[in-house]
Amino acid sequence: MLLIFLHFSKLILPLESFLLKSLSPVMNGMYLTSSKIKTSYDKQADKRDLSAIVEQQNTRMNQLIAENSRLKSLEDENRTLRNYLKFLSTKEKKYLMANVISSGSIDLNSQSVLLDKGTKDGLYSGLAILSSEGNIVGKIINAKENISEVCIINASRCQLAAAIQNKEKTVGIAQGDLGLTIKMEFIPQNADIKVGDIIISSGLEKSIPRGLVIGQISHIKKESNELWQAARIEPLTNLEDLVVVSVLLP
Amino acid sequence: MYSKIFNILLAFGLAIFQLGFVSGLPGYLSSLNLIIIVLLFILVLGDLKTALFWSLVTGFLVDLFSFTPFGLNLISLTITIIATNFLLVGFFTDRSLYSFLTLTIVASFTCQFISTSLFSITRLMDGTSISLGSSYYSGLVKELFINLLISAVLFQIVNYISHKFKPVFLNKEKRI
Repeated sequence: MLLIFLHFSKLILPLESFLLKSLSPVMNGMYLTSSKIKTSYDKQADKRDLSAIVEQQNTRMNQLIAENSRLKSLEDENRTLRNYLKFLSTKEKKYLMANVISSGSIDLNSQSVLLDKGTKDGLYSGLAILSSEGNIVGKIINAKENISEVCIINASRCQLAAAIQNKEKTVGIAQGDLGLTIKMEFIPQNADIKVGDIIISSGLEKSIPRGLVIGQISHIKKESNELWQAARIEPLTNLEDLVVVSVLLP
Repeated sequence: MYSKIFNILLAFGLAIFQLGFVSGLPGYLSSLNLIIIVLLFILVLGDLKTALFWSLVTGFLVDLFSFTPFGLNLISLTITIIATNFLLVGFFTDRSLYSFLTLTIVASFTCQFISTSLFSITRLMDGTSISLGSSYYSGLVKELFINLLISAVLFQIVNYISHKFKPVFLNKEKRI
């Protein structure tokens, strides 16, 4: 009771800050070790499907190389046209790198990860968290002075305003499903969506810009007697393997 | 004095190990609540006072790194230790594997029950509520299973080293 009183009266705030600051690097080191164990375990489990995956990835890579070169020429063209029109250039995005120090607490409800940066570093609730590939992997839901809590996009309580990259640019809510995958529900029955369509952030959330990749549609649930259709989304980043992330600042 | 400082450092180490290392492990291992298991060992092999001291220190540190209301883990761990001690002194006195595993189940369940109840109460006071989905219950089952397994393994190791517990299987030579 005394400890709780001292905490709320902020009498032990310096001690708490000291502990949080000094223990975060130790926790990050430990998390890094257990993350390595997890990665090698996952690799062993996936070894059987490896040759099939390599073949698929090679085909995909060739397609992406072709697409990339096409997009690069479009980017050059866009830059030239912007110069001609004296168009305002889009703002450079600002990032803050943060280490993952823990995968949630001992509380079963959490399904979140902790970062070693907090309000002192300019972080607050609602900011997007990106992986090293630049894909959105979650958002900050709570922030203290030295640490912040991030809900990963496959966690049940994590919701993101999303859009499908189809002709209609259908918007909706992408929500985590049991910590395993992501689902997008209430998509109009007449929306033309297909497996492989990319899901991006819709830009309807205050601190999350449009165009950050969330994942790819892997399964569509469409019943003729239903008003809506639903899609299952596979994230393009390994969400189990987050050790260092970047926070997208506004 | 020195033993208290030593205990504080060890308890800090345990809490950091739980939050930093165990939570990042693959599969069922990430559901392990090592804090509860270690506190049980301290309670059974040591005394209530030391176990309570450890529960306060680990609870305090877990609360620092948690986004639940401060004191929630501290209170749950303390009540869990008191409840488990009541069972240990009154009912499961023989220090056998079966008693220890029963105490592990009771302690794991009690700790989760108290922390979830307290969390629900605080959310209700804020005017919101929490929904316990299937992921919560599957997490609870996973935690109970892995806690039991690790408790049994640690029991055998401690028993091999210290002989403070009752052996699981009776030694034939000694019986003759």
